[in-house]
Parts: sequence; structure tokens; C-alpha cells
Amino acid sequence: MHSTRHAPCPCTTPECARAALTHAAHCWAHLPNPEAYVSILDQLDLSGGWFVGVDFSGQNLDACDLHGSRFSGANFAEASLVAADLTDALLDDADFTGANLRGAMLSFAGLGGALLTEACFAGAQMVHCGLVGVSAERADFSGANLYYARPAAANLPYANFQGAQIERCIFRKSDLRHADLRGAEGTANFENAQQEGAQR
Amino acid sequence: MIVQRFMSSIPPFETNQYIVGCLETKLALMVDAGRWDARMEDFLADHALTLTTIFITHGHFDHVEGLADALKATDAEAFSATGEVGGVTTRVITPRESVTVGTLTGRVVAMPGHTPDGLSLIFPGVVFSGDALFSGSVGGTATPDLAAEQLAHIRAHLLSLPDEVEVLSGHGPVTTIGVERRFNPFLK
Repeated sequence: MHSTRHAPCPCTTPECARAALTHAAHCWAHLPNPEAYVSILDQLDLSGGWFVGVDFSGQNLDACDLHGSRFSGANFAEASLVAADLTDALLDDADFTGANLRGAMLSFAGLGGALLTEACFAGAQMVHCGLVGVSAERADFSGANLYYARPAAANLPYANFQGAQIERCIFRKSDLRHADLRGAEGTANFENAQQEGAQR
Repeated sequence: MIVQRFMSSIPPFETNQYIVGCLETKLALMVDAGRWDARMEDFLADHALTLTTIFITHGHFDHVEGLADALKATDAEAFSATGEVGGVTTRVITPRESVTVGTLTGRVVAMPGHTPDGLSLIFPGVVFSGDALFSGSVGGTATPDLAAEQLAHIRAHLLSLPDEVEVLSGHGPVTTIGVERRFNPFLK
């Protein structure tokens, strides 16, 4: 029996209130050898799992099936997730600074509060993707499918949406100053968004 | 607990419904019934789950159009706040009652505003918010008074939950109570 997203097992460290990671007996903070844990993950089933707080920074997770897993607060900075499947994943407050998610599948994923600064989502599938409150300065969403995505109250200055699909995308109260929306297709909701210097 | 989302296009809406399975007893609950089709049947079969309960968050057509088909195809019992949704009779369930499926017990809370009969269902770690609370938004209401009523119920019953609780809503992506508390423009 190991932790899953909706049935997490308790960390075996005495008095720890956190859940154990999938394929481990401990939470991230009490993992005896975190580097060894991360190094074998790409050989295991990572879908539907519990990976809260794990440090994946710099890792290569290209084409990995991570769908439906919980990665709250995980660190993916500078990681490569090209064509990875993160559909339905919960990625709130995760750090994707400088990460490469080109062509990744993020539909229905929840990235609320995540750090996406200078991350690349070019060509990613982000249908109904939750982007509330993300910090995504200079992130690249060019050619991404953001149909009905929800980047409300998001920081998106200098973000690149060239050629993206933004039909029904909700940019309510977002900061889109100097964002590049040239060639973006569809009718989006820009209610109370800051758009000074944005290119359309 | 195992949870699976199903999104259906029910023009003009794209609406979520969920199956919640108890891993110990293999009994299952469905939250809303916008559609009943092979996806749900296959999921239940693949996980050897038996659908015993259908919980309706509110009576809008995009959440109940598949209810009659689901009841015809299963032995499940349906629950709603009004006892009748989409022309289908259900058992009445009221706020402060609970829904039990196997070893899982969810608490019912009132969420009026978007509709008078709105309900949310709260399990440990997961809340099914219906059309009251969405990622970055809240349910549309007919008047400012109803908006205020809905907001009061969201604050009392949902924002009182821990930050890490998942919010699975009737439309759109997953979010958490903590994210909505910090960033949802309608909760400021």
C-alpha cells in the first residue's frame, strides 16, 4: 500500500502530520535519501500519485506520464517536461521557473499560485487549465492551446502568446503589460486586465 | 478514495461530473449527472466499482441531463436538495446531512446563490463545490443580493476549510482552498 493522490498514507516519521510520498514511506522533508528517490522515479508509475514538495529541479521528465498526480509546492525549476502528461495534475504553488514544458499536456491541471517565470509552454495543451495567481513573467505560451484556461489575477508581463488559442480564456484582473498576443486566436475575457504596452 | 473527473459538452456549457470510489468496499458515488455514457460505465467496470449513490449539486440541466439514464443503468439512489431535478424524482437531502459510500462520508452544506437549491459536498481533503466556487471565479447569480448570499456561504463553509483541500467544481480545473483564498478576484 502506498500513497495516492486521494488516499495518501501517513509519513512513518513519528509525530509527522504530512503524507508519505508515492513509492516511499516518508514525506519529502523526512525522506532519508531524497536524491536516490528522485533518480528512480522515471522508472516508476507516476500517475495519480502524491509528490507534494518534491524537488525535481533540473530533472529530465520528458514524455513522463504524471497525469492526475499532486505536486503541490514541488520544485520543477529548470526541469525538462517536454511532452509530459500533466492532465488533471494539481500543481498549486509549484516552481516551474525556467522549465521546459514544450508540447506538454496540462488540460484541467491546477497551477494556482505557481511560479512560471521564463518557463516554456510553447505548443502545450492547456485546455481548461487553472492559472489563477500564477507569476509568469516572460513565460512562453506561443502556439499553446489555452481554450477556456483561467489565468485570472495572474502576473503575465512580457509573456508570449503569439499564435496561441485563447478562445474563452479568462484573463480577469491579470497583468498583461507588454505581453505579446500577436496572432492569438479567439475571443478572451480581459475584464480589468492591465494591458499597457501589450501587442495585439 | 479514488476520484475521476468526466467533462461533457452540454451546449453551451462544458460541465464536470465526478465518480468517487471507496477502495475498501468498491462502492461508488457520482457527483452530478450531466451525462451517462460509456466513459462512466467503463471507469466503474475497470475499477470493479458499484455505483450506489448519485449526489446532485443543483438542478441546472447541464448537471442532471444524464440522471434518468444513470438511474436506468444502475441501482443507484439519487439525492438532491429539492427531491426533483430535470423531471426525475430523487430523495431529498438537506444541509448538515451526510452522504456515506462505503467507508467515505461527505458532509452536505448549503450553497445558495447560483441556484436556490445549491449544495456542496465536503470530504476530508476534497470538496465538490458544484457551481458555487470555481478556479478564479464564483457561480453567476441573478441579483447582487444572491451574490452576497453565495459569498457568505462560500466564506462560512468553504474558506473555513484548510488551505490544502482540493476544490473540484462543476466547470473548469481543479484548485485548492488556499489558492482561491489568496487569488480569486471575487473573494477579495
